[in-house]
Amino acid sequence: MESRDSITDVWGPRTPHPGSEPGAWPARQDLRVLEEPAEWVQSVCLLCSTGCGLDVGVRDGRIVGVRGRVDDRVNHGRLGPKGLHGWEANSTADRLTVPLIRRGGQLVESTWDEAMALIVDRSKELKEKYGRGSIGFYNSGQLFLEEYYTLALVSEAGIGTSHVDGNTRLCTATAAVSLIESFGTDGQPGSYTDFDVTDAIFLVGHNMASTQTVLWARVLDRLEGPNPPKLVVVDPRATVPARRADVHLAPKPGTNLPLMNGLLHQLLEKGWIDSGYIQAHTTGVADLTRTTDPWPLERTSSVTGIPVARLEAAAEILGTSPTLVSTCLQGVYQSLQATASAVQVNNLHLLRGLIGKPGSTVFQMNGQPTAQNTRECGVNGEFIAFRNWNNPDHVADTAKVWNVEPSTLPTWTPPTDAMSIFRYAEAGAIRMLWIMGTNPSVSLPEVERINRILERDELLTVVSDAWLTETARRADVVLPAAIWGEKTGCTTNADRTVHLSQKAIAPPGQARSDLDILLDYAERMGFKDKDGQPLIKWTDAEGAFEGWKACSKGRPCDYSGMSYAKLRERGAIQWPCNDEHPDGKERQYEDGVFNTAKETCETYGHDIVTGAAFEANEYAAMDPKGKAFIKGAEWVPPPEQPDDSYPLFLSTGRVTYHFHSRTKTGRVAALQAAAPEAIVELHTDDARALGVADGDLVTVRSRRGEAQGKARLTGIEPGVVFMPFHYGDWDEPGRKSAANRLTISGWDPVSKQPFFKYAAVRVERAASGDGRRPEDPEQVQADDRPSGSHRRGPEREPVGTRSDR
Amino acid sequence: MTVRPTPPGRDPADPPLWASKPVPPTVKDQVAGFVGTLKGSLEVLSDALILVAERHEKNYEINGTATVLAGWMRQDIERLAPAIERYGIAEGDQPRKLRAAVLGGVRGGLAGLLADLTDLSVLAEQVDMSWTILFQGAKELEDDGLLAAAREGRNHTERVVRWVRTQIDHTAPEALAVGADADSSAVASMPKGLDRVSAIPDPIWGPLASAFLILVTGVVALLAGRPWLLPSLGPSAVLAGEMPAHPVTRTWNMTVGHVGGLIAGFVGVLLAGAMNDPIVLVDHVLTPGRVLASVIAIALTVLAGAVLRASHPPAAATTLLVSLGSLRTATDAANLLIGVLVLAILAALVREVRMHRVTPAERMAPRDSLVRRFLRRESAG
Repeated sequence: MESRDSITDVWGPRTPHPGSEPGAWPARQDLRVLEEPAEWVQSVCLLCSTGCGLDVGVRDGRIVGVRGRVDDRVNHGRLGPKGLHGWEANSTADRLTVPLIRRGGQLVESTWDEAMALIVDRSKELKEKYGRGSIGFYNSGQLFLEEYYTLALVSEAGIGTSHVDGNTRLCTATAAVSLIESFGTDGQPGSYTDFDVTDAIFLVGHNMASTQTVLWARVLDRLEGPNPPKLVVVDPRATVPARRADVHLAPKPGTNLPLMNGLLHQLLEKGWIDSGYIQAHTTGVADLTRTTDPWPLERTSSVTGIPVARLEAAAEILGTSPTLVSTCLQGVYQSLQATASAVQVNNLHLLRGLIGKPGSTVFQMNGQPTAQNTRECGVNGEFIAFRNWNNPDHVADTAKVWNVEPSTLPTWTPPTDAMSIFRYAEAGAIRMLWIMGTNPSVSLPEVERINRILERDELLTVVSDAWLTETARRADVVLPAAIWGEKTGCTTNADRTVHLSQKAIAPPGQARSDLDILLDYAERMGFKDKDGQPLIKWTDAEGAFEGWKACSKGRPCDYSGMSYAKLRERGAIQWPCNDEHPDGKERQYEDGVFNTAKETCETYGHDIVTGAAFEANEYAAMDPKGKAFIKGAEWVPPPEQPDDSYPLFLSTGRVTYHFHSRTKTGRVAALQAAAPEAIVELHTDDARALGVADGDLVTVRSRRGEAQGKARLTGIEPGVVFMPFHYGDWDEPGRKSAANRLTISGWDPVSKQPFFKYAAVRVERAASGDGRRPEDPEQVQADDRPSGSHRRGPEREPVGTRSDR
Repeated sequence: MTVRPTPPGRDPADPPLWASKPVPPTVKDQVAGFVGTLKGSLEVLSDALILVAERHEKNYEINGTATVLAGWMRQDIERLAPAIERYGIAEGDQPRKLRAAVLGGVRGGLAGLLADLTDLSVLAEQVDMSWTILFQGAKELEDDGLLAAAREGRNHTERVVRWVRTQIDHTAPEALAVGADADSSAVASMPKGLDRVSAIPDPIWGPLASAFLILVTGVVALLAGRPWLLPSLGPSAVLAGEMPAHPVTRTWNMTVGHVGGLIAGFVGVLLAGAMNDPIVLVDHVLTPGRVLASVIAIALTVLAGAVLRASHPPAAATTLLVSLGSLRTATDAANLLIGVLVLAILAALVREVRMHRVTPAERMAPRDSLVRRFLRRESAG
């Protein structure tokens, strides 16, 4: 039984409202069960960063369905297609149920004792022989808070290595860094309820309709209601939001920063700024004047390829709307000058004083469901609980909470980023790499190089996962992991809402949660605190949560006022939650005081163009004492330009129905059927020039490698090719459809987030198709409904069409 | 924190106000000298940044930003154009001497990266100091245009220095504390484009390039049937192969240096009256006249090198060939000069290939010179 067919009706029926107050979004319960559940277990969806509250239906020890929680502040009962179907993956027959060890080139079944002994012996040997820097950890955006926090202790206080990062580096590193650079610490300023009342929405490189379907439903209910907000969308593809936009800006690849500089230039020129706010609450506007100065709209137009009329229309909305919600996602984070561009979106809000007020905020959106937690817990290249690794007081503070000597913590350099971890592994400096719940063989740029590194004889690769992924197949030790629904822990979404995801069923076979694996490892390694007591004082998730409460107390991400009981009772609580705010706090920075004081800030800041770090004394000399930073940035033209050999730009991205490398979603029949294979989206004119028709198999080549997919001809920007990155080869060995075979090992100098949206390629027809267009049900749905619930009224005709270029 | 407030009373959008005050000639010469040093230093730093980017190509952390910074240095060279127009430019050897002293040898792995970064910081300091000198001078000269250029230039250079320091911070712990195995770190630090000239270490490039120079000169001479390959070409070939960055290997130094040496030798012989003394290498007799001729000739060679800014130590070999009597006729002199010319042209080519670096943006520029096209092919892949 299901409340709606979410595959063909991704966003569900409309419940329009006029936006009278934050949280005024009417409820609608989405439900999908295959059998009548015997009990419902409170949990949260784990298949995007929205973080929808749901109940898991259980019968006879199996998950039989899910339903949205109508009283949840995030989703008001709704669930998207991944949420309604994803749980089916738990019960697939190919789950890993016993540890595997590589023997004679083959992975063979083993026991926990044997596998853990091997890992522990090797860890001890490496630490003794080569030092603590010879061990690295690469984690995920889908574990629970308690697991990340335990990993932080194991890696930083136990081993003492700074080589700890998550695959969240690929999706939200820029979100974190841009918030830190502007506001002093990580942590989203606003709340999803701001969408309910805002007058304008600015989506920058964020295909919300695809990546956060429930949040887009929330926006649609405003767009369809009386008094709809204006919508400005920056995207090179004619995505669903782009087609709904009042103004759609489609910049050429690599020109996000010129676009933002041009828009800010226009705001400054027109005086669409709040001088009082700027004076009282920001520092650095002179720098912004300098860097936006070369970007009048004419030059911006010629560099970005966007007509001046559209730039003017967009700037007017952004400059004059009384309230404004902006969001950035991968179109910013995985493009060139990611941090610099994201910071300009923060600058927009600072210039207008539109932050910390109902209906006004900037979301530096997250990609994965628990990305926020990896960042908070200090296993994603940040120091624990938004502390500053460069501030001796913060280090001492942490050491005190953990009862260890400050010198044991690896704080002499910033935590190593993912790409550097793999480079150190390639160079032989890292000799053991423990990968938890993620799939670098598909998700990292230039995957052929990554695969060669994983297969190196000198590197012991440990992988914990629920399935034998592309990465696990290359591992030396594979640990079967329990996943969502089979373990308990907290998740924090992109608007700081904390949910408790509870264990509903037992894991299959001998599978164990990553928390239990880490606790076992810590015990076998004999990690001790400075009094000779066990370093890790807990044995279960709730204990870990209590530890985290103590660690986060007094920091911006304060969980000290929460408990498992309170989370069960209340369903969802936003941090900070402490004595002052026992029910959590909806918005940060309401008073215009930011976390930039030198005692509070998370870093001393960077040159956002070069990535060079400022030192403590430089920061102290200009301590902003709570003022936000306005940081300008010069444009750096793209390093790889299309040329005769590789004439097209490649952009990679996501489809609605899949998550990451399809480890779960590819195993769910309905989701896999909705998007069964890699596609290559081409502009009709480019396709014609190449002799490619809809449905043809095409080969895309870059200087790094080649990948194949079926052609889909669309209204994408001419000269740009789009491929989803989800398609590895676990379900069809040898298939070359992973878009990351083509991408560049290059990244933003500040956030270290790789450029997935940027590579020069050429496209060739490999084989004729059956002439059938590989459809995207989501797009069809948007196209098929020119009237009715998806109607775009005449007053909402976008400014300018392609013909005005 | 990169805040650099606009000077009071000036809109940053206004074009720079170039000073209109007349400049006395002595001041002009002074400034021209510092402008020359700065321009030379900027060129050296820019090339060095690209060189380091190419050497550590697999490390995008270095490769990406070093390339961007090289582009900034090129912009700053262009920023100097009005100053050059106003004060002139006197290029000195100092920046090139500095370049010749750094970035050499075998540089691979994390330790090699650390060494390269240290060298970059030395070059960046040189640029920073030169900008500071002009910045301070511009105030006294009341030259607002130069002041604005220097302000921008210093901003860029400070950011280079800060970036280098950040990279050293990140690299040092790994480079010093971790015993990486030599084989894999060599593989990991090898550039992706193995055909890149910048990837070839000095101990391999030096012998090959020097031998190549002698080989081609020799083959040309054989084909022409003339004895153009003479002893004093040896040291020139060695210098061009081993120290291509050094100013004494410039084409001017090499050709004018040998010509000067030749003339100095003949003058020495004349002044010493040793025209008819025995030939040292044939007769195995050394006369006081030959010694005196050599003394005078060497002094004149060095003097000529200094006056013509064409110092080239191998020219002293030419001088002694003459003063010791091995080279006596106009035909002999012509043979030597042709040999020097052939070698100098080849050396210029070899040096261009080894030393000249282009940023990726320049590499992709649609109108390529012959050399650029050659370099582009070199570094494709």
